Amino acid sequence: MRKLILSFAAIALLAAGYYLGSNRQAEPTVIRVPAQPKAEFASSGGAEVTTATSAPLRSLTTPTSGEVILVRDGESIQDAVAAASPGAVIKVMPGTYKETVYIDKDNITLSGVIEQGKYPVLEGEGVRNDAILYSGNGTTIENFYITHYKGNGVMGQAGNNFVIRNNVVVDTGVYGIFPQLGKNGIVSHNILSGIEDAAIYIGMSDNVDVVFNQVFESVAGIEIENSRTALVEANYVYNNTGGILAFVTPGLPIKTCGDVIIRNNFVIDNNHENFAIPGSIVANIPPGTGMLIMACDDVVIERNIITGNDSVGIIFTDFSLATNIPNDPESEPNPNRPKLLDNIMRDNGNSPAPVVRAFLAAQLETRGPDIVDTVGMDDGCINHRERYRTFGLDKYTECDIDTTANVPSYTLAEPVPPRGLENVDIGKLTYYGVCAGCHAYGTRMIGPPTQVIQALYMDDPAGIAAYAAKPVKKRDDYPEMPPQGHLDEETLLAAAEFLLKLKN
Amino acid sequence: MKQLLPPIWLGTLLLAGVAQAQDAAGEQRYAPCASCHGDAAQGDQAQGAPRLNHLSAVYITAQLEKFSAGQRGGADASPQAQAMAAMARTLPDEQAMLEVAVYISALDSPASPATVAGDPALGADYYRQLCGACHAAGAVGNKALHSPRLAGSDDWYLQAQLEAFRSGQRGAHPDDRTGRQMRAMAATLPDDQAVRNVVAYLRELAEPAE
Repeated sequence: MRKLILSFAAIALLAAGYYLGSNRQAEPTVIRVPAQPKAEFASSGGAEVTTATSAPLRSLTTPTSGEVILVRDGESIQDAVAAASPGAVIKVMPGTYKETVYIDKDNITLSGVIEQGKYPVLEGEGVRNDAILYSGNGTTIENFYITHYKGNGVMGQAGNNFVIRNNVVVDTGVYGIFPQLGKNGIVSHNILSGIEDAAIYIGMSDNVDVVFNQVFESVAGIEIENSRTALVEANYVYNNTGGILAFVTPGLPIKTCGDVIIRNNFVIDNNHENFAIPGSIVANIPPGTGMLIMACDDVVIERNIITGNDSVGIIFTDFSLATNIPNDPESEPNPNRPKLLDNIMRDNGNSPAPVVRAFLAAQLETRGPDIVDTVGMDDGCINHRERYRTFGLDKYTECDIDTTANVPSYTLAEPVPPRGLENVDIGKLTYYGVCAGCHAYGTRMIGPPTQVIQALYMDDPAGIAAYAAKPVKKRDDYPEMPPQGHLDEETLLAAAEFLLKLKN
Repeated sequence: MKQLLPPIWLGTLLLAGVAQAQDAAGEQRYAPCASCHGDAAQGDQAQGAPRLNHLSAVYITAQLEKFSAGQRGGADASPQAQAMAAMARTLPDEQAMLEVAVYISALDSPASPATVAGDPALGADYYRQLCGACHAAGAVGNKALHSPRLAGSDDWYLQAQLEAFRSGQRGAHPDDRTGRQMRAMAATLPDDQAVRNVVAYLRELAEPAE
C-alpha cells in the first residue's frame, strides 16, 4: 500500500515537473483519492420531485374513460377529436392524413397504430403549418410519422401533464416537438431530423423529462429554453449544428432558465451546416457545437459522451453570442453555478467554425477546446478537470457532488392542475402559450419582435387580431405567419390587447 | 394581322410620347428642387438637403404629400423640413408630385461619403434584430410596410432623422401613421451611440462610390 502511494506521489511529481516546465499550463495535475463520499445533489427545483419517491419513475399517463374512436385512412383525425369526450383514446390507423389537428380538450390520447412498420403519416405537403397543436391538459401523442409541415410537428400551447413519445418527425420546418408553457411532461423515444430551428424545443416550461430520443441533422438538437427543472437524459444527438442547448432567449415573457440536468447523452459529431433562417437566434450557433449553455443557471452536465464536435464540446456563454443589444432588463445575461461531472470528451475542436476560431486566436490556439466558459464564471465547479482541454475555467472549483442520480426524474408523480382556469387573463395566456412561440419582445426569433408589432399597430388591437386570423406575407426574409383562425375572435383580440401593453 | 399592326405601333408611339411628356414635366417640376438637392438629386449636406435618387417614386410621393399636408415640416420641425413643406406646397396636385417623384427616382449618383463614426458590427446586430423587420434585409425597404430604402441614404441625414424621430420633431403628427410607427422604433435605440452604430452599418450597405 505504501508503495502504491509512493508511486502515485512519484507520478504526481513527474507530472508537476512536466507542467512547470511548460509555460502554457498553469497548474499541475493533482492526483487525489477521495477520502469520503461527497454530498448529495440538491436541486432548488427538486424539492417537490424528491418528496414523491414511492411512485414509479415517470408514471405520468393520460387518464382514459374507456371511449375509443377509430380513425381509418381517408377519414379525418380532427373529426374524431371533435367527437371525442375527455378521456377518449383516438386510435389512428396507418395511412396518410393531410391535415392539422387541434386538440383543445383535456385528457385526450391520440395514438397511432403501427402495422408492420407502417405508420399513420401526418403529411403537411409543404403548405400546412402545424401537424398537431394541443392546448388541452393531459394530452398524449404517440406513434405518428410527421413530415413536410412548415412550422411545428407537435406544439403544446399551455397544456400541462403531456406525454409525447414514439413519434418520427422529419423535415417539419421550424420546431419538431415544442411543448410551450407546459408543466409536467415527458418527451421520449422520438426520432427527429431535418428541423431548421430546434428539433425538440422545451419552451417556458417546468418539470419536463426529455429522454431516449434520437435527434439528428437539425440546427438545434434539443433546446431547453426559458424553462426550469428539465432533465435531458439518454438521448442520441448527432450531426446537428448544435447538439444540446440550454438558454434564455431575452424578451420572452418568462425570463429564467435553471435547474437543468443533462445526463448520460451521446453528443456526437454535431457539425452540420447551420441552415437556420438568417437573423434568427439559432442562426448564431457555430457548427460543431456539442452543447451550448447561454445564460441558463444551475446546469449540471454529467456523464455524457461528447465526441467529434468540431468547434467545441461544451460552451458556456452570455447573451453576446446571440446579440449585443441589452434589451431585456429582466433577463440576467450570464449563466451561473454550472456543474461538470465526469463527462467523456474526445476529439472535439478539430476544425472550429470561424467565430470560434476568432475567439481561439485571442488565446493563441487553433484547436477548439473540450469546454469553454466565455464569461469566466467564479461559481462553477468541475470534477477531474485535468482530463479536459479548457478555457475560462480558472475559477472553477472541485464539485461537492459526484452525481445527480438522486433525482431520477423532474416529472411529478401527481398530475398538476390546469394552468389557471379562473381569473386568468385569456389574452395573457394566449400570448404566452401561442404568440411567444415565435415572437420575443425585442429579439428576433421566428417572427418580427413584439416591439416592432407594437410600433406598427399602436392603438389598433383589432388590426392585429384580423391579421393573425388571416396573415399575408409581407417580409421576404421572415417565414410567412401561420393563420391563427382556429382561435376565436375574442381570444385573438384579447391576445392582441395584451401584446400591445407588454413592456419587455 | 398585318392590318392590326399599324394601330398597335401607333399606340406604342403614343404611349412613349406620353411617357416622354411626363418626363419632361417631371424635369420641369424638379428644376426648383435642384437648387438644394442638386441636378441629380444627389443631395447637398451644406444645405441640409439629402440625396433622393435612391428612393422609390412611391415613397417620395408619400413624403411630398406629408409635407404638403403639414404632417411633416410643421412648426416644431427643423428649418430644413419647414422649408421643404413650403416647397412641396408649390406642387399643385398629386399628379405633379408623382411626376417629380418618378423623375427623381430615375436619376443616379454615387453615395455620399461616410461622415458618421459608429461601430457597424454593433449596428448590424441592432438592425437585424429590429429595424430589418420593416426595412428588410440589406435595408432595401418594403413596399408592403411603406418603409423606405435606407441603403444609399446620406449617413448624416439618417442620423439627423433618427434624432428627429427620437425627440418627437418628426413622427408626432397624429395623421402621420408611418411616421409615428418609426418614431416608436427610433425611441427603442438606447442612446446616441446606438444611433451612430446603426447609421454606420447602413452606410456600409450603400453602393460603392464610383
